[in-house]
Amino acid sequence: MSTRRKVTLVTLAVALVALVAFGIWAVGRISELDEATQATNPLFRWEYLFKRDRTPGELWEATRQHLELTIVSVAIGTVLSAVLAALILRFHWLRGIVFTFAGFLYTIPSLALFAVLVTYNTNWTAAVIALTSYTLLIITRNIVAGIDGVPQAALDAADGLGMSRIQRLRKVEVPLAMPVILTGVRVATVTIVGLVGISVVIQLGGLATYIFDGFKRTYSTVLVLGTVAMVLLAVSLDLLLRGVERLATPWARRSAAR
Amino acid sequence: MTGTAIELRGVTKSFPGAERPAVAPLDLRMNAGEITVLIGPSGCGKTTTLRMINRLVNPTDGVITIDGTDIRDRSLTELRRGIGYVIQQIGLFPHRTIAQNIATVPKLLGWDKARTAQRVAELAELVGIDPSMLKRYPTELSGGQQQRVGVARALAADPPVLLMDEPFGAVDPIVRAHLQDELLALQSRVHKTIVLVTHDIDEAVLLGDRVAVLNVGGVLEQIAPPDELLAHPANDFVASFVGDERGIKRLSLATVAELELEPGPVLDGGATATEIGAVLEASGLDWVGVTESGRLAGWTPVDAIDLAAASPLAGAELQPVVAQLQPSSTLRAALELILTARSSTALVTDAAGAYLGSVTLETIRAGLAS
Repeated sequence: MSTRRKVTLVTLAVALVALVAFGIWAVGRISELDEATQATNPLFRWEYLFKRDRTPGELWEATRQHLELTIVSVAIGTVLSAVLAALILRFHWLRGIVFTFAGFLYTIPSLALFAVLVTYNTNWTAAVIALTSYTLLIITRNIVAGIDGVPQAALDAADGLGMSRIQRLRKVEVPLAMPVILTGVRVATVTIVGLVGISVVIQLGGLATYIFDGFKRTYSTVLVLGTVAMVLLAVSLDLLLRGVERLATPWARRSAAR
Repeated sequence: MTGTAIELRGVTKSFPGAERPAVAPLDLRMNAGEITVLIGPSGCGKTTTLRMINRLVNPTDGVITIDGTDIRDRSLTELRRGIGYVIQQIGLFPHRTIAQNIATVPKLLGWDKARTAQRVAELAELVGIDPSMLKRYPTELSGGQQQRVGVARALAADPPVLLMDEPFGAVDPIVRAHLQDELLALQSRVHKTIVLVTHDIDEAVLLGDRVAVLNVGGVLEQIAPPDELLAHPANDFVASFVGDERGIKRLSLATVAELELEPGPVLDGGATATEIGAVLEASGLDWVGVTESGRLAGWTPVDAIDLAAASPLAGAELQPVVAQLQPSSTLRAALELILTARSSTALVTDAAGAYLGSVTLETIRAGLAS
């Protein structure tokens, strides 16, 4: 319990440090502007958020687009990873091949992958394919590690008590691997929230639109808005999934965080 | 509730790549309702033999029958659900509560909720698990409690056969002694056919109705009740395996009933002075025990007897006999009395108090030698 709380605190602390670092950078950048511009261009114009009528609608739309890409990619990634993990566990010789392939996908620069995929697909499909491919390594590895980590004694007992192979998988192996599997899904989700940002280059919207917009117009307000919104989204999803982990595995007293 | 015999006929097991078979052609019978212990050095195939009974290991050759039926005639899951299985590492499912762990096999068998819950409550009581623990998870229990749950889980569907692979190997000696006693008490209620693997000869002697000593490669050297094993080891291997102190180990096993009792320094209350004198001379003691119509009434020191009287013992003031044994007493208890009592003689009575004879150090020695 306390370990979990510690992990949560660390996550929040990291988010805070990231925000402060960003703030310092932004201040440095703005200080290069001439005084006239600076006077009309503070780090964050609260009016943009609270007085501008179109902002809430736009922000919600961007968040929705961002969430949609994240959830669809992680969901497809989880299903595909489950299939890959099942294949690895059934045919051990596949292990090296699958992990090498997933590792290879993971190393392709995301921009390059988008560029290639867009040639053959719609923008949205291209983004989902690319993002999904990045989840495969993380989630597959965690499913396999989770199942591998099930204590031999529990397996021996399951066999000895007369569970069939499927019953053993369903009633013993998967539940016991669940903390590690859910950790994989969580880490993949947070990673994808960041990667979705890149999809701006293929006009899919999302919160990173604000950041790119801010860069283009040297308008720090939208830059800050986009960054803060993305960090909040990532941290909220992380906390939400930690909550799910905790509810789904009341027996796991020690955190499976890694 | 009564158990079912298990028979191994010409059972062998060779693992691929191994030079020698793990189990040589083995013929073994586990009697119904008895605890049969498999013991031997590492590499003797005792665990392999055990695991062949529920087909966690498949024999290379030979036939295993339970209650006369070849174990291959039943489906794997059906066979195993009908055999209790307890292992050293316990293997409780950490994600399931104690109640859910115990209910594993009933659930596989499709029992309804009410029947399962009732059975779980029964078993908790049987193995001494507090009902408040049933909702906890295994990691919240001590090793000894976990092993009790392991036994309860194995007994859940009331299988006639129980396989135990070093069940008490992972708990500390005090808890182990406790669990061993509990297993014997449990067995006196459930009468399962139990096959238990251990490497501890003391455990084998304590728990086994019969002990099978296996040598490396699954060679059966001897199978016998523990007392016979200690008294008459079949060969040097068995003798060295059961170890030194065989006589002392047997003290816990053999009972007074097996001894050739001596008449002892005991007389009827109506005995004459001559008879008393003869008994005293024979025993060399300074006291005599007194019976009244066959029942042991007490003892009196010679000084307190008036030998001039017609029946000197009739008026004597008798003291209760402390060094008193029953036929069911172990020789260990007898020896304890002889060593600590005032004299080196203990008197034996039956449950009704009738005098049967006396035991001395010499009686015990003769008994162990026979």
